[in-house]
Amino acid sequence: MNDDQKREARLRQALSALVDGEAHELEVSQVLAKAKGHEEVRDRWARYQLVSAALRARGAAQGGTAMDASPAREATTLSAAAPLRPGFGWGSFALAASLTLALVVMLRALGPGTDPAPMLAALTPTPAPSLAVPLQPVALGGERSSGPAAVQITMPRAWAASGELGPGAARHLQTLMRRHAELNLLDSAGSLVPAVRLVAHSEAP
Amino acid sequence: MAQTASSLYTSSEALPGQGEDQALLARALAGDLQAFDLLALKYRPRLKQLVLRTVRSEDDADDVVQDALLRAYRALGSFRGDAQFYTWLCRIAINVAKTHVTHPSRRVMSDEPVDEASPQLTQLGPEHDLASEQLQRVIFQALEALPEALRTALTLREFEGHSYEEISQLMDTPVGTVRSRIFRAREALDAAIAPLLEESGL
Repeated sequence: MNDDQKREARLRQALSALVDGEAHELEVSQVLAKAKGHEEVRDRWARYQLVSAALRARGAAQGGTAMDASPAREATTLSAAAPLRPGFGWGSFALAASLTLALVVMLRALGPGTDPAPMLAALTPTPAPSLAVPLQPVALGGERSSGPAAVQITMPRAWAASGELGPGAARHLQTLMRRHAELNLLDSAGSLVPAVRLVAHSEAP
Repeated sequence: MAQTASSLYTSSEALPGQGEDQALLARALAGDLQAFDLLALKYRPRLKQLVLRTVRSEDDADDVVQDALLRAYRALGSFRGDAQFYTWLCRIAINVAKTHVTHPSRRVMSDEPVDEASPQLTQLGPEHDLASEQLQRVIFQALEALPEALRTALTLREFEGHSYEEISQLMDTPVGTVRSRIFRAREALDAAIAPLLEESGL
């Protein structure tokens, strides 16, 4: 390989590095100077980009990329994440709610004035879902013939959709139970019937 | 052949990061026409795919992209770098495409005189009469035929988006070697597609 060929090879290598944003300043200058009068450099640049696009298209299709975000990719990601799983995990939520209500009933049996919060905090071993989803109101309606009016508490739809209850859900349940305790304090009858009832989206009127 | 090579630039493609364009962008912002020209060459096919959703005809898409790139060049001073350059180009191209559809009389066609300071916005090579599927097949056959070291380096770069430094750590190889391997891999793939491009007259 003579000197010209070596220079040419170095320039092509610099062009390849420029495709990846890894060329040195001096190389960028050399490539740009050369590209000005040489169609071959521009054509090669275009072909490198074409090869790169083909490889990335395959990589993206295989879901194995870690490239920077772009609007198109963000939109794709969001649209893919938004629907979530069908048949969301109300079972988990219902189970946790049942446990919570059972705990409240137990606390009521033990005596008034017991703070359920510490015990409730221990009921949430699963991690919080990371999806940011608009809040969806959940009706918490009293079924009793007397006592305070129904309470409206919002619960992120993601909790239901993810099928998992995390620390956020625990805090929410604590709020719910404090409200429950307040309602019961106002209720002189001291009934064991729960002051609030969790209503699923599908059950809400 | 029904599809063009430009259809390789699909929405499913992982788009390049800002870092890739940084060197050229800095120079373009400083007034280097050649740097902007290389960016235009890079993004023209993607922009064409984008505007084809609005204008439907390839000729119209070419006109819209040409117009958008000229507008982008003229408005380069207003690009603040708080968004990706490609995102910024997309916005311009979408606006031009909308204008093209809703106000045909306002079109700025390619026969509009281009001032001498404008960059040479030539067409990207393989645009027509080349099946993207065939091209992709050839590229992946060539990729499979590469020596493992070359294939791994290019794959880590193109599929995973790793920097040369990261690849050098992953492969336990000097950065210079990574750079050389990626270059040699690209050269091999370029050589593999050359007959196809030649066949299509591009």
